[in-house]
Amino acid sequence: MAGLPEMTGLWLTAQVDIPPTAAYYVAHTKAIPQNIIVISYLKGQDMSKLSKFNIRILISVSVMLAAIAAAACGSAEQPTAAPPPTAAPAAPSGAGATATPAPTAMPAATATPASPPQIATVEVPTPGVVESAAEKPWASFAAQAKHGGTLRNAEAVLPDHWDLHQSCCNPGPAASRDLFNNLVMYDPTDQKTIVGDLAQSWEWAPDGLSVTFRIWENAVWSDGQPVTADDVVFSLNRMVEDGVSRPRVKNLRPYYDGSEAVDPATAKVNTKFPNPAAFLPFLAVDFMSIQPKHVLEGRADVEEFFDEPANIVGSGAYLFVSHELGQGWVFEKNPNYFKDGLPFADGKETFVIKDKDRFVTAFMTDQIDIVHRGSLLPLTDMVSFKNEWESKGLGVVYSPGFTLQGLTNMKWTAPPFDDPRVRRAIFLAIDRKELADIDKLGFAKMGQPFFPGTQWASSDEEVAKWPGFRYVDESGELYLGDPIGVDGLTKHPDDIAEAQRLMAEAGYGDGFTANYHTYTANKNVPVILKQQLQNILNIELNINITDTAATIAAEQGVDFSHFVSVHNGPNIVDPDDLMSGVYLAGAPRNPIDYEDPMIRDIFERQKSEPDLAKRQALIREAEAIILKGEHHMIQYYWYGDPRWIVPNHVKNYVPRQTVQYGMGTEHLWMER
Amino acid sequence: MTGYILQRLALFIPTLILASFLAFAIMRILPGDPAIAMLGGAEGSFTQEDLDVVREKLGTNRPLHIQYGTWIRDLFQGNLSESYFFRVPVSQLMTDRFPVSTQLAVMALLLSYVVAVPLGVLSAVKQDSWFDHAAKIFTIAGVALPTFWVGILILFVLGNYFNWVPPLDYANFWENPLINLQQMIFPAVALGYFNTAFAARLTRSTMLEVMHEDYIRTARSKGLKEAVVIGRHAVKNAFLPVVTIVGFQLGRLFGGAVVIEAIFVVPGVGTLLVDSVLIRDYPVVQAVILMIALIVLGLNLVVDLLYGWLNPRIRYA
Repeated sequence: MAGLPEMTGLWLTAQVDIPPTAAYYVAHTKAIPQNIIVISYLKGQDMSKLSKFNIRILISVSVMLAAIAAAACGSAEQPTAAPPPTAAPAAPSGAGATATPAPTAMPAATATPASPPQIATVEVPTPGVVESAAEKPWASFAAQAKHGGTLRNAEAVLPDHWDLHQSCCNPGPAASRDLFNNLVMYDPTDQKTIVGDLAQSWEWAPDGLSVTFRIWENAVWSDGQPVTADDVVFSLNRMVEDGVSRPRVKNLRPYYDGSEAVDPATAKVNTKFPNPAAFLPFLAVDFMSIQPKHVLEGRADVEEFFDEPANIVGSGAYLFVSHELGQGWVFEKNPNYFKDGLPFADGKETFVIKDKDRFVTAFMTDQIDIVHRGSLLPLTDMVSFKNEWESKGLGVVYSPGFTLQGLTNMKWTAPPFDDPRVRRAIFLAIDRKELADIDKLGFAKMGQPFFPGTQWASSDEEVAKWPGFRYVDESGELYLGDPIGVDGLTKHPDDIAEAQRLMAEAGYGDGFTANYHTYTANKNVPVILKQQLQNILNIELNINITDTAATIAAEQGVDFSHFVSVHNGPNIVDPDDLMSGVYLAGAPRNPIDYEDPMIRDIFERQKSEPDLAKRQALIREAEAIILKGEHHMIQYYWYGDPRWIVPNHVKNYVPRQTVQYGMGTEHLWMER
Repeated sequence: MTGYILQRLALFIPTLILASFLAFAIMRILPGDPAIAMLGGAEGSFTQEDLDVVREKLGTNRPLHIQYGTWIRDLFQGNLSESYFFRVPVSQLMTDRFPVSTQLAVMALLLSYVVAVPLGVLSAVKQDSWFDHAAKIFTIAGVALPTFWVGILILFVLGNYFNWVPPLDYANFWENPLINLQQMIFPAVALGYFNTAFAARLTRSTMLEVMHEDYIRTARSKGLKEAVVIGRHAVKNAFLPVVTIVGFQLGRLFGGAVVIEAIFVVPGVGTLLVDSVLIRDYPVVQAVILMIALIVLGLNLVVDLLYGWLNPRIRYA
């Protein structure tokens, strides 16, 4: 096929495990490590020039291996020395208005900068206002769409559940979102605004304690029955059901206070407190599907029935056709879909590809059209792929917003972490920029408490002044901007000195030995942290890398002795999600239930605050508390790595903010 | 001979029981929890309450000896139980996947012998010629290169130079043989390369040995054509040791298929095993390991019996 890229450096390096140290040298010293392939790869050279070179290498290596068999039948940068200690950290300032991040250079390790994230500002519901009135949200793009073809999607992970109410993770909606509808959804053409899905419109009550949804009257289930308000009530009740596994949809529990069918096309949903700002955004997340009451209610096997996709009765854009267990699935267009004209493709076929080399060749030889959920390529390979793909003008590799958190939990209930001074010392000492540069190749932002680049965040300039986040340039001046990817910056000496002082004060001036548990995909982090903590605080890390299941078992079972490192993928860009996901007791990423009463108080006050400015101010207060560095965890960065591959012939694609919604494809069309 | 067979069978059964115990124990010794894996692991968002619900549903909260006992009891009743992840009977997964892996293994074996025997024979007949040297490089590379590397190399060449790779959609051989062969031939080549090389080396060396035997000299001195000498007298005798390694190689092919199936997206038992280990799908892992153990043990039993039949000194030892 003309115009397809050649196999390139990506191909070969897919088999080369790049050690963090190599990336470190490339990023920081420009020294040439032992592996020229890695250098070519990381520096993002024109890969087309490398392809013949690489095949020579491939063949050479192969011959060398054979020859060997035949014959066998024969310093990293140091932290700045500690200056005098500083006073207690300043509380972050800034009123919370969304600031434009300072332009930053990309790290040397990556050639192409990450696409600027488009992060939503979620609006607080306005009581009494009718939203999404009558207008068809899809009308704006339906007129220009081209119809036909089968959208071929590549997937690396099997869905944990086809029944989205039981699904924990985005492979679930990646498989079955197109078979169902939510009440509301993020507008696929901007991914920031909430529009109706099954709901034609909705209206908040003047007291802010209920919202009434009007359902599209022509919506029908795939068995021909109409979609009614009873289905909405049944589904919402099922989402918050106790005693069954509801990993994601249970996010509605803090808000939902029952619902009723006013008439067949009208459902009134009550909330536990007025004006829950996060309620509609949570309802728009892909897991919150409306399911058919007449099919599921009363079934003894209700928890299993929709996990056999052939049983699914949905209202969505596509209908299930067939399923090869573990291999892929086929959908066809729903001819009775209530959104007239949608979907644009005649069908959708998903292939499960788990080998990264096979994945790349499938793309290169036009066997797949899109990667819509996540790629199995490691970040280094993905960056190379992105560089090549985009430089040849073949399409775009999109990133979500910087909405994924890299963080490390500490066992704060046992020595030495039961001393808040130790936790703060580590908070101050770690080099977040270095972690982001090396581990995320610059596709990251500094680990401030709330979503960077949004209305909930402090500006890069403010963050740059915070203890623990400060960097100085070669002249010793404080760097006022996002330091990630900027050469010549070192940690602020005052932060290092203060960290050392706190350790000494806590009786750990000579450091201690600690165990660090994480999983293989996160293996770079402890290696980098080990060096940082050893150099600055004399903390010796024993690294224990296991697979994901074992790491999470350790985290959830509190079966870790010192550190356990995991990542967090929020659903929506709202402080509620972070509070209940990380910062409050009972949160999944807070396994030993660290609770700061002030944070709890702020959470309770902000969650129904209708005035955006006031809510932002409350979040600033929470931020100041978290920045004391005494919490149960240390967040080092926010990341949004490239993951969604969209060739030019796939149209109407807009990247979403988080990785937990927007996996429907009804709005995409193909135009070759 | 009967005593010999009974002796072999007596060893076969305890070995199988031991394999079942190991298959069960290994998964429990490994850190990790299927309930956590099912809740999404690192990407999951769940609480202890969610975990308890899933553990109860899977039965993994019961004592280990109860779990083992239940599994063995179900096995004797012909019930391989249900996959935690796929939520279908394990027997259905095995019925779907084993024929695919068997086809791959058999194709790899056939391909390897179709190439290996002539290659080995010609190398021996044309000893120290350019052909022999070329064959030596080919076979030593085959022994030295890891199977997964060969698979990747094949994908690379196909994709880069022919802009074609095997289709992603698996087709059953009996339903669409053309697509099936397009999909299976290259993994079979990758998987069979080691066997080809190994068998070719073995054929060459046994051929060279045989070619220096007295009866070959006698055949030549009788004035027989060289082709007859080689074909009728040499190859026949040189081939015996090569045939005896077939059983061993078939067992190895099932093991090697784990990686090759993933590279070429072949829906066999190898990919099933890898997936199941990663998500701690105990019933599937146990069943697959037990099945592979059964195949390997069965093949070894057949080879043992063949040895006994071919060589009386063994069965009377």
